[in-house]
Amino acid sequence: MTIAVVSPGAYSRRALALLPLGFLFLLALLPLGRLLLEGWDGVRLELFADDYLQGRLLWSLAQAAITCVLTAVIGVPLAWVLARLAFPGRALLLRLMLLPFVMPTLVAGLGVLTLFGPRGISGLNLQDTPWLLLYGNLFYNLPLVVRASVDGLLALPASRLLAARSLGASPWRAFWRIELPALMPWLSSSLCLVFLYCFSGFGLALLLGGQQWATIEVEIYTLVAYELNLADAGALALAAMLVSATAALFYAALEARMAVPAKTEPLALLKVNTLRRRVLLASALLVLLSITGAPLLALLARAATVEAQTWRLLLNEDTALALFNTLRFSLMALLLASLLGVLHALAARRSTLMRAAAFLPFVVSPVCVAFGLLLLYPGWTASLLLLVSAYALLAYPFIAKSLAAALDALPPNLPAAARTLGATPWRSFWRVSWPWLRPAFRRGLAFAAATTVGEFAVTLFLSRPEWLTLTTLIYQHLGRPGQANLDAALLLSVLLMLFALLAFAAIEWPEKNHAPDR
Amino acid sequence: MLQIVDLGLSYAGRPLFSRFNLCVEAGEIVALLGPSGCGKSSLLKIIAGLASADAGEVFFAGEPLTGLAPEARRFALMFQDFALFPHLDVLGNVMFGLIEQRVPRREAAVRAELMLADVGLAGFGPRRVWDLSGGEQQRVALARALITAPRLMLLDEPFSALDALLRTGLGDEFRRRLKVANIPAILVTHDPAEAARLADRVVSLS
Repeated sequence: MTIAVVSPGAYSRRALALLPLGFLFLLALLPLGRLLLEGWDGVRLELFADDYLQGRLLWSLAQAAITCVLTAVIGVPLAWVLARLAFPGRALLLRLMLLPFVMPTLVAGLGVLTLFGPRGISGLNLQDTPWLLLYGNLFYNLPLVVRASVDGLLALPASRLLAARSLGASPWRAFWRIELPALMPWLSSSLCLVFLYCFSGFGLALLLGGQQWATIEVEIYTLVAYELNLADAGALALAAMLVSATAALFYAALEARMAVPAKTEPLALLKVNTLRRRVLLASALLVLLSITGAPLLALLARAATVEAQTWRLLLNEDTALALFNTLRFSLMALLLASLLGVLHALAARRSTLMRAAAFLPFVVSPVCVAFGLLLLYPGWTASLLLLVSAYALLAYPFIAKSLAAALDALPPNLPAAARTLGATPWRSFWRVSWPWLRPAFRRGLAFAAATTVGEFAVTLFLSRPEWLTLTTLIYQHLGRPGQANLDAALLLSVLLMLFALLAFAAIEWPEKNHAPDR
Repeated sequence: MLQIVDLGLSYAGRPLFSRFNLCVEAGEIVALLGPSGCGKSSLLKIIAGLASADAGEVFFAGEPLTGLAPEARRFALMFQDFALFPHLDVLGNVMFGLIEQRVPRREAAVRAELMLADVGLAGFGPRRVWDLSGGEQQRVALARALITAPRLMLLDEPFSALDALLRTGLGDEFRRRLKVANIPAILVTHDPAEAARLADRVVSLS
C-alpha cells in the first residue's frame, strides 16, 4: 500500500537525495580522499619519529582527553543540580546553555585572553601555559556535557529511583547505583563529541595555544600556509583524520545503541530548602558562571573601557568591507544551505544512510576539508563559489537535522486530514505541514547563520586578501603590534558576539501558536 | 451511493483482503468490524483517496473515483487521534475546510461559530486545541468535518481514545447528527457492541 500524500515515493526520495549527496561527495568526500592520497604519499616513518611533531600529536590527544575528564567531573554534578533542584530561572539557565554553541571561536578565544592573557583583567597571566586552551575548551564543551547529562537524568523514570530508595538506598547510593548508570549512554556519547571537537578544533588552538601548545590542526595550517610543505601537512592530516574518524565511529555506535526515551514520569524537583541544597546550588551556579559566563563578560567589560580613538579606528573601509563581506558570504551560503538542508531532510525520511550523511560535515575538521579542497581544485582556489560552498557545507547539516527531526514528529494524519477537508497537496503543505516545520527550520537556520558568520578556519584557507571578513579582520588586528590593534580586535569581537546573540534569540524565540509539548 | 468492487490489498506481501465488495446506500451508516491489523483503516484511506489499492475499483454515485484527488472527493475522514491542527485555534480548525472552498474569511468564521454552538462548544473558538478534553477535541473534529457538507463520512475508530461513558454518549450524538444531515457513513471499529448500536448494518472483516 502506498500512502500517497504522506511520503514521497522511493524514486522521488532518491531524486531529492541527488543534490545534497552530490554536494557532500564533491565538497567533503572527494577532498578528504584527495587529502588521504596526499598524506599517504607523504607518510614517512621518520616524520612521526620527529620529536616536535610527536609532541604536537600527543598534545592534541592529551588536551582533548583532559578536557573530556574535566567536563565529566565538573559537568555531572552540575547536571544533577540543574536536573533535580527547583529554583527560579532554571528553565532560562538551561536554554542559555545553548549560547556557547553559537559563539564564534574567535570571540571565545579573545574572551579567554581578556581574562587570563597578558594584562588580563583577572591579573593572572596564563599565556604560554596549556591552561588557556583547556579553559577555552571547557567554555565550549562543559555546556554540551551538562545539557546531555540533564537530558539523561530527566529521562530516568521517577519510579525506578523511588524503588531504589524504598529498597534501602540512600540518595547518594541511589545516585551511584541508579542515576549514574542511567546517565552513562548520554554522558559517553557527549564525551565522544567533546573529544572530537577538541581534537579537530582550530580557532581556539590557534589563538590560545600559541607556539608552544599548538595542536595538530594548527600545525597543518602552519605547514600549508607559511611553509608550503604540503607533503608533511598531508601526512599529519592523515593521522588527524584517523583519530577523528575513530572518535566519530565511537559516537555513531553509542548513538545507535541509545534508545529513544519513552515518555516517562520524571522525578519531582526538590525544593532548595536546606543549607546543603543552597550551598550545592550556589556552587553550581558559580562554577557555571566562571567557566561559561566569565570570558564573554570579560570581553564586554574590556570593550566598554576601550579609548575613543579605537572606535574611530573601526570606522574605516576595512571594517565596512569586512562587515559587508561577512553578511554577503553568509547570506549566499545560507541560501544554498537552505536548499540543501530541505532536500536532505526530505530525502532522509526512512533512510539511515542519509541521516548518517548529514552528520559528516559535523565530524570532519574544517582545516582538513579546506586543505583537501585546495589540493583537489587548485584552479578554483580563492573562487567565491568554492568559499560559499564550503560555508554551506559546514552550515547545512544544522538545517537538515532540525527539519528531519520535525518531519519525523509530524503526525501523518495532519496533512491527510487537510487533504480530506479539501486542501490540495500544496495547500496542505502550506497550511498544515509548514507551520509545523517552521520553528525547526528557523532554529536550524539560526545555527547555520551563527556558523557562517563566525567561520574562521575555511576562510583563512580559501579566502582572498580583498575578501576580508569579520573573523579574518580580527585575526589581522591580533597579528599587528600595539594596544590599539588589540582593542580593535576586541571591539570587532563584540560585534561578532552580537550577531551570535541575534542567532541565539532566533533559536530560542518562542513560537506563538504551538502546542507546549513541542 | 458508494460502491466498492473487488477491492484487493496486501501489506508487506501479506494479503489483507481480496475481492472485497461493499455497497453503502444514501443516508446509511455501515460499521466495519474487525480486529486490529485486518486492513479496516487502510480501506478508509483508500476510499478517501489517501492510499491506493492493489486491485478493484471504488464508485461514488456511479462515478469511478480512481485518479480523483482526496480534496476533490469531498469525503470527510475522522481520525482516531482527531488530527486537530495544533497551530490553529478551535475556530481556525473548524474554518479550515471552508477556507479551502474559497469561502470569505469573515463568513467562514460566522459559520464556524454557529457550527461550534451546534456541537455544544459555543465560545470555544479562541481556545487552543491542546487545552481541550478528549470529548471536546472529538466535537471539534466533528464540527470541522460536518461544516464542509461532506458527501460521505469516514470514521476511523473515532471513539477509541475516549472513556466508556463519553464514548456511548458521543456515539449516539454522532448517529443522530449523521441521520439528520442524511450523510452516509462508514464506521470502523473493533467493538461489536458499538457497531451494533450505531450502525444500520454491520460488515465483518476478518
